[in-house]
Amino acid sequence: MGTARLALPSLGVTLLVAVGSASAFAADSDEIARGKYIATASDCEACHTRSGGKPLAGGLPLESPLGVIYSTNITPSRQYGIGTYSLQKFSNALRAGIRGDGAHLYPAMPYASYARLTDDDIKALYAYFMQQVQPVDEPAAKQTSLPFPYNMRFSMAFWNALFLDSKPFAPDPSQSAEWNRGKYLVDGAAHCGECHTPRGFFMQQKHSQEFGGAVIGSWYAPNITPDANSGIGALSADELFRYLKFGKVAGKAQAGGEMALAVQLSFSRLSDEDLHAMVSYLRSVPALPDPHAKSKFMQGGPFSDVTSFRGVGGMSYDRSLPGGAAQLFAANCAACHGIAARGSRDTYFPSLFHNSALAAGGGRNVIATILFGISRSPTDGLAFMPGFGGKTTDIADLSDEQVAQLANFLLQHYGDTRYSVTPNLVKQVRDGQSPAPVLMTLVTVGEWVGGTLLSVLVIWFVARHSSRTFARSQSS
Amino acid sequence: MSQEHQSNEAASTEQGRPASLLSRRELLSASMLAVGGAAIAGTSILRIAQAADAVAAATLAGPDKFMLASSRLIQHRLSPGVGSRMAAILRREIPSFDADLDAIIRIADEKHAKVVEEFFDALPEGQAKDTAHRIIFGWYAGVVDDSPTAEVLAYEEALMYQPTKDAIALPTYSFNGPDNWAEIDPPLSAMPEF
Amino acid sequence: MNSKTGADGVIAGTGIVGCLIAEQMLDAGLSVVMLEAGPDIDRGRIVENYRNMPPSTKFLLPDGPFPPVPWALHPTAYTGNPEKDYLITTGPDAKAYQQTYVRYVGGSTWHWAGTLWRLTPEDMMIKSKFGRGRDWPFDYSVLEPYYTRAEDAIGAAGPSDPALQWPPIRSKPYMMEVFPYGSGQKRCAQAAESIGLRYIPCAQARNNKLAYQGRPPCSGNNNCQPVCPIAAKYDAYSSIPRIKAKGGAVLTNAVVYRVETDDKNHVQALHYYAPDKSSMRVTGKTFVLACNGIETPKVLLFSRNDKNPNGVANRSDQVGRNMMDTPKMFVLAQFKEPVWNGLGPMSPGAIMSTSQGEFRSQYAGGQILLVNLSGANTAGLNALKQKLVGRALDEAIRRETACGGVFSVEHEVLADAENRLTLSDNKDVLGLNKPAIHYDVGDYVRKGADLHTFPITEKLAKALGAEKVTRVPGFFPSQHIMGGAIMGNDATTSVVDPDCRAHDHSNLFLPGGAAMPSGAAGNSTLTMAALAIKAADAIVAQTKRG
Repeated sequence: MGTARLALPSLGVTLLVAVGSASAFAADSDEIARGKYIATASDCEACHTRSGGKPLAGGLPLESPLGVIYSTNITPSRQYGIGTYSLQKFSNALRAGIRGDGAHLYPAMPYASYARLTDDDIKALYAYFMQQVQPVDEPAAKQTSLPFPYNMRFSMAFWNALFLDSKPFAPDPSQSAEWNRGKYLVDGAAHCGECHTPRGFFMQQKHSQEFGGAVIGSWYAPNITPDANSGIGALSADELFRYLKFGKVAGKAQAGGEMALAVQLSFSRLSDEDLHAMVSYLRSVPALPDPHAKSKFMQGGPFSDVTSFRGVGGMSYDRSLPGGAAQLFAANCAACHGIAARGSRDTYFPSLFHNSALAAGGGRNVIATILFGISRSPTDGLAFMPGFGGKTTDIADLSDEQVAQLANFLLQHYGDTRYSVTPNLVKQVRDGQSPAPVLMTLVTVGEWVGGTLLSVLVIWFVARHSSRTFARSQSS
Repeated sequence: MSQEHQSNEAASTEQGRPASLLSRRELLSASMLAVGGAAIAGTSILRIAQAADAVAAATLAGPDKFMLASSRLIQHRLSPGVGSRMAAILRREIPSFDADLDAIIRIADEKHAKVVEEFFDALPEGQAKDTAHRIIFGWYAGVVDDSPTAEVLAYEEALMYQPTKDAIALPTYSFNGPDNWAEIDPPLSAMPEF
Repeated sequence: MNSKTGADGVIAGTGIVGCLIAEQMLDAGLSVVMLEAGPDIDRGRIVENYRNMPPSTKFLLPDGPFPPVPWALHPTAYTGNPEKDYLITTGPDAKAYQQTYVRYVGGSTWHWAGTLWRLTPEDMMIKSKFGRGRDWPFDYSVLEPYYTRAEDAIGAAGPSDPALQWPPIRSKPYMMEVFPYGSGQKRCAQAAESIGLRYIPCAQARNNKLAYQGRPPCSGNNNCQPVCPIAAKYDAYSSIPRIKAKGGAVLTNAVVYRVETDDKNHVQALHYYAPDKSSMRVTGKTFVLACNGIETPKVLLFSRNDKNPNGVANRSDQVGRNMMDTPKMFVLAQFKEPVWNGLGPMSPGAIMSTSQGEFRSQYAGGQILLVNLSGANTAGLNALKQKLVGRALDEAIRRETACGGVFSVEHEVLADAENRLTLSDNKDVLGLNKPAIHYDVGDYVRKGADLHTFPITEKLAKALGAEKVTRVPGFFPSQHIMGGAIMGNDATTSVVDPDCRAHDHSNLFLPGGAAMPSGAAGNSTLTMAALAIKAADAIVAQTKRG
């Protein structure tokens, strides 16, 4: 079976024309297995499976600054999923952001990255989805409906025209096979830039600052360029490999938030060769330094202020702690992390100093970690920290003020002392609100202005009409 | 001394995804301003320079008699914060406190004592020795006497938990990560350093 | 406002029993109001309280980290002065009923060990089988599904090997794996085997390898009692956020003092005091007193009225009688070689087979365990008392910590109507009578300790390498408070029916330890939780019927 490719420049759609029938083509078990592997590398599961839901059946809410976007059912259900998709439609969805019914997908679906997947990989994915994924014949729990004007999906066509680089990956012959494989994975399936690259005015990735770090909802995806201080340059290739495989580098870094899930569902299940390849590529991209930063793996040191409050106030049933932030730390954090934040002997509980999580992103990740905890299960067992943000599954209910107080204590003594956080930021992180994009502000302002103008017009019109009526009535 | 975390079978968390991951990959628009701004916006904060691992008393600068006497009586790291609290209480309770401290230091010096065993028996029975015992008690137990209403000065820094810190947990503090206690079985002779 | 009306369920007490019932009612679509006598204190404060305790009090005041509020006292130090003490105990074994419990939101599971022994079939039929004590009005097969549901509700880690289960009669495996033994427990298990006994791992309400209910897995902070600093151990407090999220109302500092009945002897309301002694009246359909085995009988007795001159639910005159516990014997041991207790959870295993056998017609059986508690505190104070200095001091501390151990032996006591809670003449700040309990463990227990459990414990200690074995005279409380509102089919000799419904008042339930007709030698909480769920089934069914 062969394929031919037609590039349609205006829409950047790559056409795959299969010789023979488009639907039931026989794929061998190798191809299906390869497809499953690529799906793992692409981490479809993370977004398309909701908590407690069936695999890949959609319904997961994704908070975006423009509203909530729900993932779709991508099982081969004919009624509710992609069961009727031809290979072409499947490819369009993944690489051009166009759904089966022709509507545009929001770039919450990282099609801008998946656009780099090769035809062969697309075919393997298709085989896996159509032949091994269990169809779930239920609609996704909820459908996306963003407020006007973001619900006008066709506008994505303009965005794609400006920002979608539609060409599948082409290897660079001057680089090694490992480097090329790494770039293919990093830029494509693993879509690292979608989180780690800051975005511009229209929320497109800014490729001049690739992997330089970006806020993503409650969390901060740090700088993963090879800069020695603000990036990952100080980590060895083996440490980076271990980070991807196990989710942590003892004494230096550990994955939280979305990255924890990515490690659990995706990276920890990839081959060692592929992980080494990704590491090799990442260590070669342009380093983006933060001129004011000191090494994020060397911040802080062991510190305890327990002497100032131990025994003070004795035993009390008053919830307030006389020792302030230091005692908040002792009461909530030190049981696992140690009174001087050294962590546990076996490094299961990380030290908080020399820990890059406290030295990047303005303290955002400290707040998110306190509120939401950490949970990841790569191959070497569950790594877990409970949340303290007052949800029913959390073990404490710290207020915005308390979290800010605690976070500042941690940053001062164990993290980057340039950072200081406010209760307002805590609230933002709690709600998953990223700073409002300028675009959104402009549109909102535009709506208000437009709305006000419209109201003024209506009032004027009515006033004129009724004054005429009044005049008529007066004169009769 | 870091032990490799023991391999556990992979386990999934109960009840689906935990609370920490309910909000997901987000569309966002943080520009360089958001990224850099947070860093620049931080106010400068004074660093409190007190460490729990106190300076070895033998090299103490300044005439802190209590810390000096304590370091003669106890050859371990002593926290200045605990020391200052303890000295204040003992000074109130023991009329001869300063004289006793002088005696302890003087006799230790006379004996050219490097460790407490080299001069302790030479302390005269009575106030000096009693005070010496109280000081040792205070550093080890974290309280200056064993009455049920004694003021607690230290728990994490109380020395009596240190001789076994390689083998058992300090209650309320974890020793290792989960399930990682089965292989801990050090010999009596392996006195930890503290 | 001095009245709250209309909830389907009004539950006094926010301990494990109250919370299990509340959550089940809420899940069934019923409305619930919970009344807690004490305050809402968070975990961090309690942990800091523990760390702030003078070391000499840590053994003597197990509830030191829970300072009681004046309007809802719970026992702390027992001075023997009735003006100062809250619970006043008398009798030959007064010391053995100097219970401690916690009147805070979350109740006494704050400080429990998390041990999840079940009763065996024989434990529930000691009258029929051995001619002693009382039978339960149903057998193990009736209780077993409730044990399973209770374990699921709180999260249970236990052995999958039936040879290690207690009893090995289970409809479902444990949801979490058994915990590994630390050094001390491993040695103890080997020593037990060498004398022909089995030291089995106990099932625990403690997360292992799973973050069940969002709570972390146990990391061996060795502080289960008095409080788990990280919520790995289940405590009822951790269920309160769920209860509130499901619409339950939790009123704190609300001291229930009276059960109000009407002319049909139906319960109409509970009355409670706020700390300023203003009184509120709470009406509802179904009422639950889950205040713990001492407070529940106390409120019933206090509620006496014309129709119920002996107290509410007390036509049988059994309210407050048959007070039981698992009288505890301590055996101290010093070993030649290090044993090392103090890493991992505090009660990882025990010998349970010593609680079963034909001898129960003659004397009590008991469970024997080596307490996995850090001895550094005691060893430190002892070495200092000996006026040691320098290396000798350090070495003494290390040696005594490593080579010291405490065996805890809990016995089965029989229901005896003379072991009785009454209202003392001493009153608290709200004018409510403090409880008084007369207690005698009986020759049944004394013989059991002398003839059966102490010899075995001594043998075990020697097999473990003890060079000195000291039995502490007398018996001590285990905080397994049972019997004060005892269950039976006969309303003349019992207070509640098999669903823990008061015989005298069809809309009043008294589930928990107070309902247990026998306690055997194991920790009572799992059985209490099973009874809570059994009662909840009945409560939900009858409340929905209207």
